[in-house]
Amino acid sequence: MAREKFQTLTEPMFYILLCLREECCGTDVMARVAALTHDRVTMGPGTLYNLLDSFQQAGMIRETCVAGRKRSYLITDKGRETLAAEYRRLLELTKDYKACMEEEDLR
Amino acid sequence: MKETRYCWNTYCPFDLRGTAEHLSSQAARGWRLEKIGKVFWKYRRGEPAKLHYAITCPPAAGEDGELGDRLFFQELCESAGWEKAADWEELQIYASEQERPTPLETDGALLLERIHGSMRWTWLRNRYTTALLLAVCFSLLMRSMLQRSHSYFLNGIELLLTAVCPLLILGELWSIGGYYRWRRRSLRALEEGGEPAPVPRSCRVLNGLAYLLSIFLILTFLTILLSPESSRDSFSMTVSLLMNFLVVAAFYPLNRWWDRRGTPGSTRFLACFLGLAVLVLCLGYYHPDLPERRGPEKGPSYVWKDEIWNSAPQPIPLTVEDLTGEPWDHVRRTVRLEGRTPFATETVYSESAAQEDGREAYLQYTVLEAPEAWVCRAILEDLLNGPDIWTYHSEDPAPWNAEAAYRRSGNNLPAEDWLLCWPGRIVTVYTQNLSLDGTQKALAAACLGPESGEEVPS
Repeated sequence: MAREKFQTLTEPMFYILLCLREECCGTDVMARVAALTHDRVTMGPGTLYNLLDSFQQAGMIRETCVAGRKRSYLITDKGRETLAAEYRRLLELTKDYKACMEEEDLR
Repeated sequence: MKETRYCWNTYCPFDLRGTAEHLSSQAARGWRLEKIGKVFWKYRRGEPAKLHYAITCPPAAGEDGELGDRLFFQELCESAGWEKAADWEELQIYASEQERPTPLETDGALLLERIHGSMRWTWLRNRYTTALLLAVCFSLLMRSMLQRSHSYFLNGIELLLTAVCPLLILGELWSIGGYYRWRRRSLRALEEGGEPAPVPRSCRVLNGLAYLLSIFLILTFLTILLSPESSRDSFSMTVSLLMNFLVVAAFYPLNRWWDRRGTPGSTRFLACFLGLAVLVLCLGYYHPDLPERRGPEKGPSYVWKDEIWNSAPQPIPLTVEDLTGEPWDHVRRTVRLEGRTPFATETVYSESAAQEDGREAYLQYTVLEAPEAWVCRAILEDLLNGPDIWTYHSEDPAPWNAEAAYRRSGNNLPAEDWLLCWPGRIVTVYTQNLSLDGTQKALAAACLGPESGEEVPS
């Protein structure tokens, strides 16, 4: 069965939403993601454009300003909820991992 | 030193990696992409440089040709060090001089979906449409072969198209299959954490073959058309094809306009369909009735009673003089090769004869040779099932020394018009002011039958 869109976020999705907690233009998102992850996550402009477009269509971000060719975006409440849900999911994963490892250590 | 050069492009539009590597290798040799044509790509000489190329599917233009999304996309690419180098159909080619630029696309799955979205509405749609049109064309040719065998087997262009259509359909289906095979392999590779699969070399080979086949087709088409042995049907069919091509070409600027407006494919298809339907209803299927390509034979002539007559008539297998046994004062003869193909050859002979005392006679006969028995049978059947105003009645073939003989009637009145059959040969004989008796029929058969040794002149 096909997975519902944005039910879980990929790394680039996660970091885009994270960066857009503050209003930010598209070109800056790439730089911010690279800085935030110390170049571990790189995002191509083609991929970024598509993700921004998808997020906007899903109502997770909104366009705040268009200046020439530049466009700025800001996360919406729905986007924040999705980001928080992803964070909780990652915490669950971490918790489960820890529990398993501790169990193994006790044995 | 040459400053520009043109290269024949055989890359498929979904072969993003192969095309990018090709362009990079050209740049390393000092040739930079300048312009993209339908078939040839133009390169300009420059300093050899290590350039990276990437091909991507840009967003579609918005309503009313609004390019906002595209400009924003371009802005993102430029901020990552990619400069737009050219447009390639629905795709865009970017170049970067950076040592290790951030790839344009970092999410293979997303890229694959965008490629598929783009291919579905452009490349694949064109392939499917072409295959469908070819299939329709092929079925019409088959229908023509069954229902109009006489003109079909004499029409070199129809025969050529019949031979080529299945090849072209197979080529189109192979291309479509090639794309889906590549997509399936790429999806599998992405699931396994890899990158989209490279496009197999066979796709390029197929593209190259398609171009070569097109050139061969055009040359053969022209050869058949310009040959004096081509039938009038070939010529008029070419004019019809040209007319249809012009109608289709008229849609090209319209399509560009739709591109700019971002009109959905379904709306375009519906508009094209309705437009063509209206055109066909208004104009009908234009099939020009062209004049004779070869008129009366040239040679010395004179005028008598306002008509042109031959001073030295060319020899033909059977003449009015042969049939009547008397010389005629004025004679005019024509020989016309109606068509020559590997399946059939037909020549039409005619003679008008007149005496000073006012008597006139007209003789016309066609000699059709079709060595293949099934072709001969099909043509005979077509000739016998001619227009409803004429009917053929079988008659005794003995006087003609033929295998079968038929006489044509109109309004139940027998005409001086016969159709005679021998193995591999069909002859029609028509006379005016000249009733043939048994001896004359035997003479005609001796001159026109297979034993006459009469061969169609080349």
